[in-house]
This record gives sequence, C-alpha cells and structure tokens, in this order.
Amino acid sequence: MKILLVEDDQNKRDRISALVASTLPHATLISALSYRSAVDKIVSETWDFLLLDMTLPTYDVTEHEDGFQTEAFAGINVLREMKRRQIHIPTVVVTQFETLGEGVEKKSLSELRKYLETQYPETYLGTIFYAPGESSWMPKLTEYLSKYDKNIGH
Amino acid sequence: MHVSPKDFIRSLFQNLHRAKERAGWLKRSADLETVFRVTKALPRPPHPLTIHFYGHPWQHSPSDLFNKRTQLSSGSLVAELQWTAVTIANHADDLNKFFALRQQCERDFLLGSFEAAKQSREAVETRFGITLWGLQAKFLLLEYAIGLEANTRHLSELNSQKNLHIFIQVSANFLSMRAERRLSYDNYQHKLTKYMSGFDEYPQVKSFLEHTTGREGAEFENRDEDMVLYLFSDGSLIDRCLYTVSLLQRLFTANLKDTDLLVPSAKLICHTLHIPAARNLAASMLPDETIKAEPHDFNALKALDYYTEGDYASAAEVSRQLLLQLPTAVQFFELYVKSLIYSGRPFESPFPPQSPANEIVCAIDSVFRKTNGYSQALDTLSRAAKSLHITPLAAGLRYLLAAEGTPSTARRSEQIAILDSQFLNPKLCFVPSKLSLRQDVHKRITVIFPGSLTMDFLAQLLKPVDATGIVNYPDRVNTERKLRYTATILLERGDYSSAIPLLEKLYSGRQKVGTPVTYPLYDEIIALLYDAYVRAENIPGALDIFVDNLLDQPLTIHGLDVLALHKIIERVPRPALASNIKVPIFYAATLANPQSIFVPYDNFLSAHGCKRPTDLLSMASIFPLPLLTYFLSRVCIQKVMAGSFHFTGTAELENERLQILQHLCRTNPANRPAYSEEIDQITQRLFIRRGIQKLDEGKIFVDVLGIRRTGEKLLAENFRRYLDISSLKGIEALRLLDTNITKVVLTTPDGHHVPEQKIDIDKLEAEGVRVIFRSHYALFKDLFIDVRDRFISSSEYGLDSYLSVRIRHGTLQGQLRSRFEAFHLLTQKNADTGEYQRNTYWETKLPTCTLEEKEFIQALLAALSRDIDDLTRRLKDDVIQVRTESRNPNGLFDFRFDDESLAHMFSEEFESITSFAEFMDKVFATLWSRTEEGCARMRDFMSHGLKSEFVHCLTKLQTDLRSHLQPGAASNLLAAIANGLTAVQNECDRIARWFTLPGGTFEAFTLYEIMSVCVASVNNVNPEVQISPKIDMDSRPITGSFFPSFFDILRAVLDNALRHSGFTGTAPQVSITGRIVEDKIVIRMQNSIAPHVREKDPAQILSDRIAAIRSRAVSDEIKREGGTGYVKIAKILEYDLHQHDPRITFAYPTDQELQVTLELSGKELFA
Repeated sequence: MKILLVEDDQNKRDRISALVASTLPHATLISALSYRSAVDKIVSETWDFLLLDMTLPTYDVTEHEDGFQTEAFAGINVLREMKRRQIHIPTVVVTQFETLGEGVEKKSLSELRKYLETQYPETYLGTIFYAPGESSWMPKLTEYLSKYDKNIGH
Repeated sequence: MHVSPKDFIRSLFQNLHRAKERAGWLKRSADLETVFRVTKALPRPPHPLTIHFYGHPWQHSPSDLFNKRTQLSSGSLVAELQWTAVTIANHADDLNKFFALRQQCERDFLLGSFEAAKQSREAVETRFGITLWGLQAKFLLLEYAIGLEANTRHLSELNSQKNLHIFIQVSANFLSMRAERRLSYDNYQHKLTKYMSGFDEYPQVKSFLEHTTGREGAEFENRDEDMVLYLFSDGSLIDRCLYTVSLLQRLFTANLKDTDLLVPSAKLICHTLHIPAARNLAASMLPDETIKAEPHDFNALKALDYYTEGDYASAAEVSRQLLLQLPTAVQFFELYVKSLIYSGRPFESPFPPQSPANEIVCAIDSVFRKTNGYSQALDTLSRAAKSLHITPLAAGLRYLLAAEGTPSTARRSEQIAILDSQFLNPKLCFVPSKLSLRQDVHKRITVIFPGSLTMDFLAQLLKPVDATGIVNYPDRVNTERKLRYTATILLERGDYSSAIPLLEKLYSGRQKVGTPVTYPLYDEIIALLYDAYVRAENIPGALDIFVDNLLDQPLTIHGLDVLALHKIIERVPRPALASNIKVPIFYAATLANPQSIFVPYDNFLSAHGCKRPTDLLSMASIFPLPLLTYFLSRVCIQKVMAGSFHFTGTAELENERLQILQHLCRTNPANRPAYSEEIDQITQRLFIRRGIQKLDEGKIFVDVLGIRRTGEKLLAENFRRYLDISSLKGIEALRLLDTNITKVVLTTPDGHHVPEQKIDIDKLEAEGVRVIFRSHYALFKDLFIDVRDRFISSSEYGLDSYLSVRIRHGTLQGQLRSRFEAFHLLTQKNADTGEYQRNTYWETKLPTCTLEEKEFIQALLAALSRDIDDLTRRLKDDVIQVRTESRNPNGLFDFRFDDESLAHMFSEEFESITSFAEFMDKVFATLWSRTEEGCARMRDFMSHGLKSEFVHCLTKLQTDLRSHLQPGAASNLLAAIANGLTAVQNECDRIARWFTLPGGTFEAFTLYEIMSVCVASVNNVNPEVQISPKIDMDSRPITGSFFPSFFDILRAVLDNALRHSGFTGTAPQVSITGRIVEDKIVIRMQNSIAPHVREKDPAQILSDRIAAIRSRAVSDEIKREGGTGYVKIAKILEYDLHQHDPRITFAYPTDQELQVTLELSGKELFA
C-alpha cells in the first residue's frame, strides 16, 4: 500500500508516520509538505491512500523558500485538483483545527465534512481531528488504514 | 380565547399588585379583538393600570427611556404585534400628528431650511417628549446647521445625564456618528460591528441596538423581532410605532411563512396611521383593502406616464415640482434625473445649493450618467443613506446603491423602497410574490388611474408566462422604447428567445455619446440583455456583454447579477468554454478569492496547450490585444498562478510575473507606469528576501582581518619567540640532549599520548614516536590560545560579540516570540509586579466562555508566556554561548582544547610551519572548524531539542484547554495554538539556518534597499504592530560587504523606535531620510513618541549614554545584553564600519517626535 501524507507540521507528520508504520509495516509512506508538492506527487505517481492536512503552505518551506502563503483550505484545493484530473485516491483529512478559515469563509469541522462529502464524494472518506497531546485520533486513523489496506488486497 | 373585558378589568382591580402579570397573560393568550376590547374598557391614562398595556408612551427625560419594565414579554411575535397594534390604535390621533410634523421636519431639513426643521422637531419633543427619532433628528440638524462640534457637544451633554439606560447610551453614541457627514458608511459599519461583537452573548439586546443604530432594510435579518418589539414597549410610542411599520415592511417582503397571522394586526395599524407607508402596506399586502389616493398621487402618475411614453421634458418638469413638494421620495429624484438625461438637457438641480437634497440629486445625476465622479457620488449617497437612517429617502437611497453594486439585495431593497414611497407608486403591484396578488394590487390601483399608459405597461408585465398578444403602444412612444418595453415583457414571461433578438438590436445600436460614454437607457439594455442571456444559459453571450463592457466602460456592469452566471458556468463542465479567454477574465473581475480564479485560468491555459502564461505569448496574435492584456495583467497574478503546480516556488512565480509585466510594458505602453511600479515592487521584494536570507546566513561571523590587524604586533612577536625555540626539534635534537630528560611531550602516530618516562631514543625512533619539546609546545599553546581567545572573545571582532549583536541581543527572542505573538498567544511581563499581563485579545474573543473559564485560560496563557520566555532566556544565556575551559559549561560553541589534542595538532599540523601568515591561517582554519561544529550542534538543537520543547509547551496548553473547556468553547484559541505549533517549528528550522558559516557575498546596495530590508525584518518580528515609515533616501550604491553592518545599525534604531516610543497596540509614525554628500552619509530617523516617553527626556538620556560609551572601552559595555542597543551600534560603527569619530545625535523636531541622526563618512563605504 502506497500512502501519501500531505502535512507541513513536522511533529504531526512524525506522529502520523509512526502510527502508519506500526499499523501497516508493509506500507510505503511518502510525505508532501505543501499544496504544490502534494499536487505534483499526486499527478506524477500512483497512490493507494491519501492522508491530507487542510491548512498548508503553497510551497515546501525550505532554506530558500518561505512557502509563499499558508492557505486555510489548501487541502480542498488538492482535492479539487484531483477531481479536475479525475484522480480518485481514497482520502482522509487529518486536521488539528476545530474551525478553519476566517470571516465568511470560516467553517467548523462538521461544516467542512458536509462540504467535502458533497463536493468530493468519489474520494473523500472522512475527517479526523488531530490533537497533538491526545491519542483519540489514532484508533480512527488506524481503522481507515486497516480497512483500505484490506480493500486493496494486502 | 374568549375573555370578557369587564371581568378582566374587574380582576385587574381586584389584584392590583398582580396587574403586570395579568396583562402579560392577556398578551400571551388573547386574540387581537379581545385585547382591543379590553383596552377600550380600561380607565384612561394616566391611570396606573394603563402602563401595563401601553407602557409610558410619552417620556420627558432621556433617563426615563427604557428604564422601567412595565410589561412582560410574550415570547411570540404575533402577540407582541397585536399588543403594539392596539397601543398604536389607542393613540392614533397623537401618532398621526407626529407623522405630520415628522414629514414637515424631514422636508424642511432636505430643502436646507434647518431652522424650520428644528421647530418641527422641537414641536414633536414638546408634545410627545423624548424619542430616539428626536435624538437622531437633533444630531442631524446640529451636524448640518452648525457642524460636528455641535453634534458631539450635544452627545456629551446627553451622556452627562445620570441613569441613562444602556440602550440610550449606545444608541445616542451611534446616532451621533450616523449624523456625522464626514464619517463614511463603511467606517461607521466597521465601528458598529466591532462594538456590537461585545453583545454576542446577548443576541436580543444586540438585535435591538442594531435596529436603533445600524442595519436596516434588506440588510437586516429577521430575528428576535418579538423581543425587540417588546423592548421598544418601554421607550417612546413614536419609536415603537416607527419600528413596527418598518418591521411590517420587512416581514412582508421576506417571503416568510405564516404571515397570515400578522395580517389582523397589520390591518389595524394600516387603518390607524394616515401615512404613505401604511397606505402602501395595505395596498400591496391586504387584498380586500380599498386604496385611496391623494392629490399629489395623480401628479406623480402624470410624471410617470410622460416618462413611459417618452416625453421626457414634461416628465422632468412635473417631477421637478414633485421633488420640491416631496423631497423625501427617491423615486422622484430618479425620475427627474433620468428624464433630464433622456431629454438631452443638462443637469440642473431644483434644490437650494446648500441643501442636503441638492447634494443628493447631484450625486444621483453623477451615478446615472456614470461621470468621472461616479465613485465619489456613490460615497455621497451612502453617507446620506447612513445619516438619514430610517427615513423613507434613506430606504430609497439604499435601493439605488444596491442596484449599482449588489444585485442580490437590490430586489428586496427595491421592494422596501416601494413600500416607503411617499406617493401611490404603481410598482406596489410588484411587492407581493404571488402573481394573483400582484394582479390584484394592479387592478385596485388602475381603478384610481384609468387610461394610464404606465398602468397598461405594468399590466403586460403581470400577464402569465404563457400569455400571448402584442402590446399596442401609443404612437408617441418612440421605437427604441417600444422595443425595450416589449423585450422586458417577453423576459418577464420567460420568452427569452423572442426577447434576445430585440435586445441585441438595441445593444448593437448603442453608441458612445462623447464623455461620459454611457447613460441609463444603455445601462438598462446591457442589464436586460445580460439577464436574458443568463436566463437562456447563453454563456458566451453573457460573457461577451460582461467582458466587452468591462473593458469599454466598467461602470455599466456594476449591477449585473454575476453570481447567476457563475452558477451556470459551474453547474456542468463545458469543455468548449475552457478556451474562451473571457471566462478567466469574468472570474477575475467578479471574484476576490484567487483560488476561484485559478480553475478557469488553468483550464484556459491547458486548452491552449500552455503550462504558464508566458507560454501563451508565442501565440499572442490569436487573442484580441485588450483581452490578452487584461488576462495577463489582472488574471495572471501571483496568487492565482500559485495554484499551478507548474511553478516550483515563490521565486519562479515572481520571475513569471516579471516576464509578464515586461511583455505588458511593450504591448500596452499606456499602462507602462503601473506595470513599472509593480516590477519595482517585485524587484524590491526579491531584494528584501535575498537580503534577509543572506543576513540569516551571515549571522555567524568573526572579523578575522580585524583580529589580525589589531593583534599583529603581539602575535607576530610571540610567533618569532616560538620559532626561536623550534630549532630544537625531533628525535635528532633529542640525541643532542641529556637522555635523562623527561620533560618532553610524546605522541605516537596514532595520536596517543605517551606518559612521561625515561626516554629510550632508539625505541622511540623505531616506533615512529614524535618528540615535542615542552617549551616549544608551551609557546605554541600560548600562541594558539591567544588567537583563540581573540577569535571568540574580542569585543570588537570576536565570535561572541557577533553572537551577542546579531543573535542574542533581542533578535532571537523577538524572532521566536513573534511566531507566538502572531497568534496572540503571549503577553508581556509587567516589570513592576513580575506578573504576565492579561491577554486582552483572547479575553474578548471567547464570548461563550464563562468568567471562570476565562480566568482558567488567562492562567494557562500566562504560564505559556512564562515558559516560552524561560526557554528563550535559557537558550540565550546558556546554550548560544561560547564554551571554554572555564566558562559557559552548557554553551554549544565548544572551544575547549585539551593538551592531548593540542599536542597532536601541534606535531601534525603546526610544527613544520615557519611562516606567521601560514601559521595564523592554520589557527583560524582550526577555529572556523570548531565554529562549524558549534553551528552544527546549534542547528541540531534548534531543529530538535528546542523544537520539541516548544511543541511540548503548546501541546500541553492545547490538551489542558480541551480537557477543561466545553467542546467548541475556545475553538478560535485552539486553532491559533495549532497554527502557532506549525509556525514555531518552521521558525526553529529557520533560526537553525542562522547557524551557518558565512559563504556568499553581498551585492552593492542603496540606503533605500537596506532600509526596506530593515522594515521587513522589524515587521516580521512584530506581527501585531506593523510600521510603515516614509522613506526618502539618496541612491548612491554602498559597498556590499557593509550590508550586515548597515542592517544591524538601522534595524536597531528602527526597533528602538517601535519598542520605546510608548505606544501600545499601534505603531509610531516613522520617517527616514538618507542624504549622501560627497563621501558622507547622514541618516535621520524621526518617530512619534508618547507624552509619557517625552517627559523622561529620552534624547538627553541617549546622548548621555553615547557619551558614556565613548568615554570608556566599548568592550566593557558590549557584554551587557539588553537596553537600547546603542552600545552595539557604537561598536559596529567603530569596528565594522571603521568610523573613528562616529556621530550619533538625538533631538526633538517637535514635542511629539524624537529624531536620531547618524553620520558616517569614508570613501570605502561606497561601491
């Protein structure tokens, strides 16, 4: 099983990677740290599963790159690009925000869930709330991973 | 429920102490008729029982208003409305007298007769007491007749009264602002919204205050209406009545269910009040009501008929007379101005020059003619609508404004404006939503105006969709109008295919009539044809209308319903549309969110086989130049292009944009200045980014040349002594000496130290052991350690000094704190108490938290501030330090050298060196290598140790909050923490990169460029308070190697301006000038200072400080970290920039400003 983890927060990335490694030792997990690198990897390779953060910088933050900007709904943009290209990867959104965005664009997690279910029914499986100091996100993510691991024949 | 009025009244008298409750029961339980009959049986006011029914209708002091709760709330809109209707009915005469006076007051005000208006207002006050209406009218009259000072003075007088209810305090404050002529609508709304956010926990109070002070008409949501109505019951009956009428207008135009229940009350009110608004409500909403007309209604219809048939001159004349009679009717303004335009007559105001009505009519003319003053005119109208608040004219103006910019609300705004018409408006038939009701209204109005062309035309519009038949227009109606009317009728009936050719004919015949290029009829045709295309789903047609007019005369497309076209485009994928350049243009012109523009942008490029906009340039000729220009300039902006994965980073985005702009400069020279300005901005951004990056990378520095220069004499002398001893070396030398000597240091080839022992020379030789004489080694060690100490500790040139100036002195703490401060997570420590200040930001942003929860949050945030500060302090004081054998045991720059390693180094690398320069190079190479090791440790510490400590702090905070608060109670704060978590990890990585050895060189720079980098850097670490100084600098290039030094100096001065000016929450005003004359640079930075800072005489304090610094060695001072940073500045000036007599002076150009002047000179400063 080949999993793409789109996540810019190193600590969260490390913890999710560790969970994936313990749940699916045979799985290959590759990380993308921004909207752009996520789309690039999605378009150029084949993936079995996508773990997607919602708030991301446009570009990977590096020594020479400040990321351009951080988009509250960059994850939606990733899903949109998948849909435009008819790429269907089962996707679980893992976010550490209970509300996203600001002003009129502000969405609660349940609003986000509804929106994603309506707009991306082909790929969107669900949203997990990630709290760095808690473990409640782990069983949910394990369940998704195990279920999709079986579905693709492992 | 049946209640006998007499029995009820009897029970009231029997239980006087429970009269309020009994009345409340009646309000909740009885129908309108019963309530009405009970009130008729009540004793007459001022009998005390009546207050539980009517409140105190007339109140004579502001402090009486709303201060008594005379009644109980029913919790039902129907019941509250019944209660109010009965109260209004029982005070009919007084209320109708008020409305007559109000009409007179508003008319006189609009015509500029402020004294007469004042008398009418005072007559209302004398007779009916204090009202919110009266307060507003007084503010308005004072503002217009005398000015802002009179307005605000009256507010102060009012506020000085005791026991004012909060409703009055808030309302008066905002009504005074509403009246302010210079305060824009947007600014007012901003202030109001900000203030009202404090009432989020009290939605009913908020609704009440929003009604009295703010939103109105179509913008006002229907919520808590029953409670607002109830709260009005303890104010003046006049305000309650005005609110009730506007409430009915809103309720009947909101397409709500169950409005039937409101009809009896509405009927009673409409029968009671002899005002146009009541008549209009009855005409449009109450089917069985007979409509009565006033004499001026016939004149109004005459004007409309003239207009409908195309006799614009007559329409203008009649509407002019009507305007003078009824300047409160926006429809007459519209009719008059349009008639003038169509009749080809120049604009002429019917009103006195200084009158508010004159200002309004001039603005309306400008809006309809789309003159150059269009935007200003819209602003004038929105200010007027704000100031006139709940008057009929304000409702009309709001409709005009909505029609120009927000089609989504225009329809309802128009309905409300029609209901507020001051005459019998034939358009009342469009207020009901059902066709049968519309036809009924039309029928009842037509009875009054038989044979009216306007009514005939409206009859055609009200025919069912499947109706057929051709309209016969009188001959006097011109062809263009006939076509337009027919098209409008066909559109209303849904026959788009027949309407579109007629409108296309009109549209293609449109012509530009000099400047301004448009006038209302053409606007209307554009709107109708666009609407027809949209309804017929002819997307290319609608796009043509929109985009062609966008490029030709953008003001003509303001009112088009762009959302409808968006919906159609997005409903089904239409591949054929992708290649149409007008799609991305339409999106860019109508949407602000770059992500929404990206899809049509990307579809368009892909459809043409392009990945980037510059790929399109080779096929530029296939697109009309204006369209391609718009696409490149407005669509292909960085934020839109950022959605494309064909760009790998910000630099590529900026380069793409630069290429686009360079192309545009060539193809659209008329706009070259704007493109050039953007090129400059991007170039500047690139420079700033590059500069900051190089500065980040250049923070670790040792001025080796400086050390060599200043220490050369002593070091060279020591080196000579060292060489003198070196004649004795190696095994051969040992043979010449007493073989019993043991005072030599021996190292084997693998570097192991051999303990001192009696020496067997042959054995040593056989084993390849090298012999080092202690005296020789001792001199080497002394020399080496001397250079090391200079390398690490020289106050002028050493590593520790640069670590202090560039990292430890505020920079590091500021940089780390800034990431938390950007999300309002930290507060400052109070220097006196040692406690962390309360976090006022989150105190106001968590409305659903209880007081106890807020205290808990404050305690956690204070603990976080303390933890973060402790962590950064430890980092600064212990970790980012140079460790030697005797100092800083936790410092990660480890410069300890033990004998073993030194001896090995000596024998392997130094012993053979005989040149001083080579020797020094070797020592410095060794020290740089140690520096690099220290940097690696620092990078590792920042990226792992420190990062995980920050993650721990924030994670703990998040967990504590989530475990103690209700779900959702602090979601904004939790989101801020989550954002802070990612940001601080990135910041740790960024700071880790500071710990790299200098590699690149700086290019020559100008003072403006270095100042821009400083401003960006200071703003970066102060996210809550951004400075935007005025910068005026000469542009002679300065030598690139001085870039870090200039940066350090100017940034420190700028930082001082921000930190020590005494303003909290706002940035000081800063202006900077830089003059270069011959080889001298004079930089002056001036910033505003708060009075309490000025009192301390900072110029004198700083001057004394500079004098003190110059009177003793800088090296003593440099070790002190903190303060204003002038010691560091002095150090940089003297040692890095070689200014031996640097001048730093301080002065006060004004009493509120501090000026710092830096003077530098020297040829070597310049490139």
